[in-house]
This record gives sequence, C-alpha cells and structure tokens, in this order.
Amino acid sequence: MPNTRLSRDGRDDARLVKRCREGDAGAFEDLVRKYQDPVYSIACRMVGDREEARDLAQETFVRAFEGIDTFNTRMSFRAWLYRIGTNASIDHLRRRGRWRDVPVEMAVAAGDSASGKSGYGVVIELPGPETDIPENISVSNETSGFVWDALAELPNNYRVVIVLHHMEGLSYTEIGKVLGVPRNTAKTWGHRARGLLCEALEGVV
Amino acid sequence: MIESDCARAVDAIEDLGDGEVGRVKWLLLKRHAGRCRKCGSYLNRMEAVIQALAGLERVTAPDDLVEAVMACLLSGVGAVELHAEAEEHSRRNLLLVAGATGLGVAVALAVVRWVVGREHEEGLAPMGSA
Repeated sequence: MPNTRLSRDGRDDARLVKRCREGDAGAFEDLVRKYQDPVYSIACRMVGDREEARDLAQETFVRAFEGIDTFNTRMSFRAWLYRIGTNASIDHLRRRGRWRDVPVEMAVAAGDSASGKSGYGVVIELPGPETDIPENISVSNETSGFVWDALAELPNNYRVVIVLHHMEGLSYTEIGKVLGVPRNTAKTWGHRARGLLCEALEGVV
Repeated sequence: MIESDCARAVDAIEDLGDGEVGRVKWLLLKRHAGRCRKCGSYLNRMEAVIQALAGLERVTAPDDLVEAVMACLLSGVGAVELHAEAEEHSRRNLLLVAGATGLGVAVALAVVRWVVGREHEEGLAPMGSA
C-alpha cells in the first residue's frame, strides 16, 4: 500500500526498493546512481579525504543493499541511506582519529585551480599572475578558510548537522530522522555548531 | 532592559542560519546591532559564517563509483543475496512441481487401488454366492 505521507520522490524510491527486494539488481543500481553524489559529498565533508570518501560511499551502498529487507518502505529511503552514510563516516573517524591535518578537500588541486573551484565547492576567484587581488575577495577567502578549518574541528555530530542542513538542505526534522535524535536536538546542535564557527572568527571579522 | 534586548538579539542571530528571521525581526536586530558593539560583532561573524556555509556544495562522485558498487555487490555479498533470491524462486518452483507430481501420483495410485479392489470384490462375489 503506497504511503501518501512520502513525497513523489520518496514513493519512487519505495518502488525501486520493492523491485530490489524481488531480486532486481538494476533497481538497486538506479538507487546508487540517484544518490551517489550526496552520499559521496557527505562522506567528503565528514572525513576530508576523497579516497576515503569513495570507500565510505561504496561501503554505505553495500550496507544499504545488505539491509534492504529491514528498511521500512513507509519511511524515507533518503533519510535511511544518509543515516547509514553518516554512521559509516563517524565510525571511520573514530577508528582513524580526527580530520586529516591537511585535508585534500581544502587544498585547491592543480586540476581544480583552473576552474577556480576549491574542493569544498566554493567558487574562489583565483587571480591570474597579472591580476590585482581585490581586497574584499582576499578577505572573504581568508574568512572562508577560517570557517572551513573550524568546521573540520567541530565534534562529529555538530559537523554532520551543518553538512546536512547547509549542503543537502535537509530540515531539522529530517536531520533528526537521519541521526536518530529529536528535531530540537538537531536544531540545538546546529546552533551550537554555528556558534563555535563564530567563535573561530573572533578577531578575524 | 538592555540585557533583554541583547538576549533577543542573540536568539535572532542564532536563528539567522536557519532562515527563520522575518523582516520585522531582522530590522529590529539591525537597529540593536548598530547600537550594541558586542551584538554587532556577533552579527557580523554570523553573517560571515552563513556566507561561507552557503558555499557548501555537493561534490560530484567519481565516475566509476556506480560500477565499483555494483561489481562489489555482484562479486561478493550482494551476489550471494541476489543468487539467494534466484535460488529461492527456483526452489519454490521445484516444490510446486514436486507437490503437483506427488499429488498426481497419489491420485493415480488411489484410482488403481480402487479399480483393483473393485475387480477383486467382483471376482470374489460369485464364489461367496456359490
């Protein structure tokens, strides 16, 4: 029986899950294609390393496939998948320790510098050798750098709220479902996270 | 009075990141921040944080991620589950065929037994009557 509480997108996912349970590998491949970018992005933001993020994204989908029979199709598949993904990242960070000292995501790789896009997806106006650097852009990039550094130092539960809210655009209710906490807890974590990021900017802004 | 204004301003600043500050609240906050250096500084920093976080965009997954996941599933755990599913289907079909065959044989045996028994009874009847 279709669940009318789910969005159309959610109902499409539920249909794919049903086909997957019936042994249709193509249906699961469709789900992987649909969610590969967000799952990989969340892992990237959480661990700060592209290679590790790739492995974590793969692990997330394998875990999802293994547990597909336990998934309640009346719930959001996206929230369920993100929960597996964030848990995988947090488990990985616990095993490994903290964020990489010099996260790959932070560095503007040679290949990316041509497009002027950092690993975080922030468009940075990288000046050419003959271009003057406008004072405001320089300050803005410096400020962003402080924020990214501070983001990497946040506790895992705070960072994941920031990533899900600001990158994925999830509401606090959805974040609560992903993390298995009440909405207000997710909201409090979000506020505290931004408060800590503000503290990091003391003396800078 | 001033302290309560600051407390309200701090709440409003914290709500900024959630996009929950309406126009009136925003105007009141700006007016207070213009007079209160501490709240003004906090507002500036929060705006900078929000601006930086607005740059959080999705990263495109590697081109071969889907293939890697599917290969992993088909060669490992996933394959076992997919095969298990297929085996479950064929096992179910085999059981159906076996059940139908068994039933057919049982019916045939019953018919044969009935016919033989009847012939036997017919064969015995004249002897008994004699």
